[in-house]
Amino acid sequence: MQYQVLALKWRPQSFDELVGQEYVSRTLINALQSGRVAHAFLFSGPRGSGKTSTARLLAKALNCHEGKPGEPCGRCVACTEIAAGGCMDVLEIDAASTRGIDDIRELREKARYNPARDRYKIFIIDEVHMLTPEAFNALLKTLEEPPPHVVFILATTEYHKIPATILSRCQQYSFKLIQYPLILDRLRKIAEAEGIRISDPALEQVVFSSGGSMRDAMSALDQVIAFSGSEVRDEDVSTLLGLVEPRVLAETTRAIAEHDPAALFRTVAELVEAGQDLNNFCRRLSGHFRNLMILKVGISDPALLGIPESVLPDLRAQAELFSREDLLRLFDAFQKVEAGMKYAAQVRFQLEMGLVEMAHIARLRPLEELVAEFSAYADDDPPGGPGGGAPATRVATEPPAGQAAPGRQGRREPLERSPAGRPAPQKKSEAPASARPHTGGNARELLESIVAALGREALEFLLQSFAGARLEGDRLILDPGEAGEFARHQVARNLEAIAEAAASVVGRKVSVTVEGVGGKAGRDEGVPTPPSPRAESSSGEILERARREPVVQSFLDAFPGPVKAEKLDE
Amino acid sequence: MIIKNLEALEADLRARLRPVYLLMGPEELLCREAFEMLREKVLTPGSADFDLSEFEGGAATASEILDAANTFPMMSARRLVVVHKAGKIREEDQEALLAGIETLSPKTVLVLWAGELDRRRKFYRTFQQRHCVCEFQGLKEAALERWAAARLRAAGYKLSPEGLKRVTEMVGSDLQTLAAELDKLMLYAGGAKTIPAEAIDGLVRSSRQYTIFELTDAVAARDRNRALVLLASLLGMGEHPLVVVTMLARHCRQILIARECLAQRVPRREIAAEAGVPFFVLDKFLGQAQRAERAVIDEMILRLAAIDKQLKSSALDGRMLLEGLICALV
Repeated sequence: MQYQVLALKWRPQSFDELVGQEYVSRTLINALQSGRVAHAFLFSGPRGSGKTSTARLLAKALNCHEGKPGEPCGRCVACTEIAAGGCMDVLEIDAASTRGIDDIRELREKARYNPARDRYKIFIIDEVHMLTPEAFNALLKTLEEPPPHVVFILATTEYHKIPATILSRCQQYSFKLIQYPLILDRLRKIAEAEGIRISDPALEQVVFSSGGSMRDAMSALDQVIAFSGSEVRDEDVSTLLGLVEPRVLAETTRAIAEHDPAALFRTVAELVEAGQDLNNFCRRLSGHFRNLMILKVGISDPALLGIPESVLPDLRAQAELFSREDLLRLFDAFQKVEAGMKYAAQVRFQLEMGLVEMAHIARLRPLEELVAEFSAYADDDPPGGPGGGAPATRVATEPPAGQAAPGRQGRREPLERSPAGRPAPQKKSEAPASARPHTGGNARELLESIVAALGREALEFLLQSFAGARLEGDRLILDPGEAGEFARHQVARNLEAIAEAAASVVGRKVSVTVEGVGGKAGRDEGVPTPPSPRAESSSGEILERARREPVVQSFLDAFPGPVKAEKLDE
Repeated sequence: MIIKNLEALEADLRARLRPVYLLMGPEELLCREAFEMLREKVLTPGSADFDLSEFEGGAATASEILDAANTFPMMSARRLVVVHKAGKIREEDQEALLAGIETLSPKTVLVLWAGELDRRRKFYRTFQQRHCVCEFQGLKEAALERWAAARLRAAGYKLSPEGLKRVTEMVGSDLQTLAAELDKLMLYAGGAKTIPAEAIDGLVRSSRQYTIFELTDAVAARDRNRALVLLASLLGMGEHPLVVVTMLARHCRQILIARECLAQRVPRREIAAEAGVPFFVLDKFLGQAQRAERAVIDEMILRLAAIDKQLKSSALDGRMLLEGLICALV
């Protein structure tokens, strides 16, 4: 006998076998039992959700000669002919190829005549959204008032393409994607009946590659059986279905988390050696990070994740390596890499560079963590901590560093409020870098500490775009790096607030300047600035600094000529 | 004379049968039910093949319609002549029809069926002044729920008030669709006669607008899980990601319009018209508009524009892009 694919062989033959659409099947059975069957149905939903199978079941149930209402016998001539697709009273039309007005006119002609043998003449129009607008119009009248012996069953995957006039004339049923456990159960039964030995993890891989479509799952199983025969090995499933082994995904994830570009290069090389499609790998990896993100935001529903429950613990552990913000940024980065690979001549290089870039993406700390840290910082502050250091926010108003704050020992200081009204961070006595007066070692770290102490959201945002900050004696110099002009000037206008925050971080008063921004706005006017050996002492020096300004340089490029100081504003 | 609901028409039909009726209004189902009442009143069962004549405005001339109208009935006491799409009757035919109606056979009932007519024209005014106009407007809010409850009651079924509210919210104000969904629920309940609440979510096809509304509501309420589940259900029903993006962008625009209107103290009814929001969800919508943070809406619009571009210019997975959007916003 000719081989029949599983999806056809195991097509449901009764409403009981219809998986995952219980609401639809129960409603149809009740309609058949009560004799209140509509004359036109519209079944819509994703592919492989059971629309055409349900249409055939309904046709059988309507025309069955022997079964009870709602229970086609499967043995009578009508049932067997419908199952074989050769019943003359059930016309199955593919609207993708039979879509013109003439085809519908022909259909209307056929509808006029009584069924040849059975109770109803049933028209199943698959992919009905493919009909032309004229064909839809031609169908309208027949659909509205069909002869009593006619039932129309329309099926579509693209509901939104069906005209409203057609929709209102049909009883509509939405088919949903089938839950993974239900597909798994069905495949397990099929594998048993077919005498196929396949492990549960392998079967899970087949199921989760289907995306909730029973037909896709069965086709995938067919493919696996065709390759492996009756004994299916787990590794064959991954290879055949183009899946990337969970181990490779996990290793790549860890390499990104641990900033290990060498491991990433090795992984890509292994994939190339194994003949893996790198585009597919990138897609799978981005799907993997999507799952990490979903887990990170607190959802662990396997249906939403599209993964078997057994891999959840490992995935959770991987999600813990990143903050939500990191995952979002990595997810964005994946999209860029994936889009770039589409046009890349050397897909491998594009992927490698993309992965290395991701490994270098700086980690962001979640806001909740920072808030928790600050809270703990405030709570843990013991009365008269080691060294009796003055609270950070008090430094600006109290004696400078080195002198103990009188009256501090033996009592807890209330949280002081910043100008914005939020609690300003206090010094955590046992905390390391951020709590002790900052020594100004790491430029970025120092800047971040100042940002954290600022308490002004807009300014924090602008200052975040700066590259770093360094201490030179009592001067704090902010390095704008790649920050935009707007950010530079807004920061330069708010040096007083920054000086206050900086004082709380470094433990003494400092004057603040923005590197590359001269003049009035570039220096903190409100905080006394000690004389500095680098202060602009002559107009020549100021002119020289002005020449280095990007804006001035652009002007000089466009209009070459001497730069002359008309007015020097201190 | 103007009749505005089926109950009034039923009462009027009990009192007398008028020679001419004009059925009009946007609510097609009510027009259809009104016509069925007239048909039942005029024709004896099984006589439609002999005593019912149907025409289409624009295709039939006034003389054809009047000829049929002046023909004696065969099996019933009266002949029923129906002109569908009466709004399309040509002007010269309108004049002739109005003149012919004056001498209409007393053995005929003429029904003109139009979606909408120009109320300033003589054609409409004549019907309004001298005949019977049955005008059916769409139902709103509580009236919609009452209509649904009455329909269920008439068939011997029960649904909780919360269930009724949910069904009407999900389906919207189109009575034909609502009737079809109620029919499905009744079929599902079968002999039990009480419709279980869980059947609503399992069986009723919510309007796309409602699901998008729920999705944005979940985003506004920072309910990430619900937003992701709703997105999955939208895509699981076969909606294309681009459709979802478009609907989300449209919703953001409506929220911004509503916020602006609220700030200017524009009356509620006008806000509904300005923002293009169905009246039956207006309360919820305005609540959402008030709660929504401007920054979140702005960011959502920018991100939607980026996703729209990505979907159209790359092979990126739409579902993942939309999930990324939700995770970033909530």
